[in-house]
Amino acid sequence: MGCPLCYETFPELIGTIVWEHQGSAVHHGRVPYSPEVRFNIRREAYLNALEKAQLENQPEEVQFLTDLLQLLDSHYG
Amino acid sequence: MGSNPLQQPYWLRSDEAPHDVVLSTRYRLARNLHGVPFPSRADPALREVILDRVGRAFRYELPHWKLIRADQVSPLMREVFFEKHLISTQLKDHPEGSMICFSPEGRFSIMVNEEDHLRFQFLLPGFQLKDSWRELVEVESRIERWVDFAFHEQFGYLTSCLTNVGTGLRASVMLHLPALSWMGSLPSTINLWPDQAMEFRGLFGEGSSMNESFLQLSNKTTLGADLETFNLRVVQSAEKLIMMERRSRQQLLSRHRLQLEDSVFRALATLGAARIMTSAEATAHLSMVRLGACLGLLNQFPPMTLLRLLVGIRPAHLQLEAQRPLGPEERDEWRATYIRSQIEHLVEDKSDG
Repeated sequence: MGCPLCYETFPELIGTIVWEHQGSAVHHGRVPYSPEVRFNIRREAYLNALEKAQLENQPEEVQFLTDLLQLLDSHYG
Repeated sequence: MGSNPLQQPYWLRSDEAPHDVVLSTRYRLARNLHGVPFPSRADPALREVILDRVGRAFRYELPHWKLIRADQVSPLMREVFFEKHLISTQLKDHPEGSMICFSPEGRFSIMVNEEDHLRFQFLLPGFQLKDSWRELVEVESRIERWVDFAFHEQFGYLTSCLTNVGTGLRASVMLHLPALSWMGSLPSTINLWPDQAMEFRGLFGEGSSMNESFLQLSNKTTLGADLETFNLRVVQSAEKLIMMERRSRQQLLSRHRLQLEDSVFRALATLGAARIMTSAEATAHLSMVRLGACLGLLNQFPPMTLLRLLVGIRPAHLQLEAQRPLGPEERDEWRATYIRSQIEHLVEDKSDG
């Protein structure tokens, strides 16, 4: 496959091939975090990183992480 | 391994959980970043972006890991990592824009921009399939704090190859089956294995020879069941093979003891005296010596030491030892010398003891 989007674009074709190879075309079990949980976890991770970068006096990294936090808040906040 | 990837990885270093049949346990989890072309379709600039994103996750979540750009590692060292089962053939041969991440204790290695954006690997000595995959998922969760993984409600975790889609998990064990091999029942055992969802490969994975008594057993499918179920099926198949091998070993001891002892001691004598030895010949003899050690015929040869020797005789390891490139004939000579010195050490240690 070229890209994760291929799975969105050709689900029927891929479903058939996967069924032939794997005997099933349906995922079970582990899934990614829900958007809400992901937002909270990621925000906490960014804040911890920002604190560390500030302590280590890394202005470029501080700016980058600040931008990342703003982007996160604008998407999910 | 500590912070130095040149040291032995944990599965070759630790005497934890020694096992008479299973040499090592390995888990591999394939993950990709959401909305980003797979590495085979990513141009050099995009590969750098992926390395940067993943590298930042490591910096803050797993700061004690050692991150190495694969294209800045010499071809010889990549070959050494491959022989230690830390990286794949693909990363060894195509290191451009890729990275290898090693955990401080040497149990985990993660390949970035290999076939998939992330290939998590967890390597342990002996037979430790039971619950070990949870530790791998814990590492995966730490990275997931920083990146979104490509996921589809129907197909699960999306991968570059359709054979890995779903859980992305491959659980495998490296087995030593000399008694089944001796009795000639190994090919039929593999070909007629009842669980069709299992796969057998050679010592070095995909494409490697299955003529020796060393085999890898792993799940072939990754979709249609959860991680626990796939893991359990590999455990069940592995336990069945272990039982068959042990039964064959006992049969050899009870019915063909003299021939068995003759083969074991001939193998040991050859290893201790030969001046030229190919990799295949050395592997076959070491297999017999390990069998003898596991059956109590050669108590001075701990199976873990023999396992380290099995890896140490590979071409890249010999060239690392020699600190220069060696041609095939020179390697055979170095291999014989290296094995003789190791055998002498073991015999001397026993005498001193």
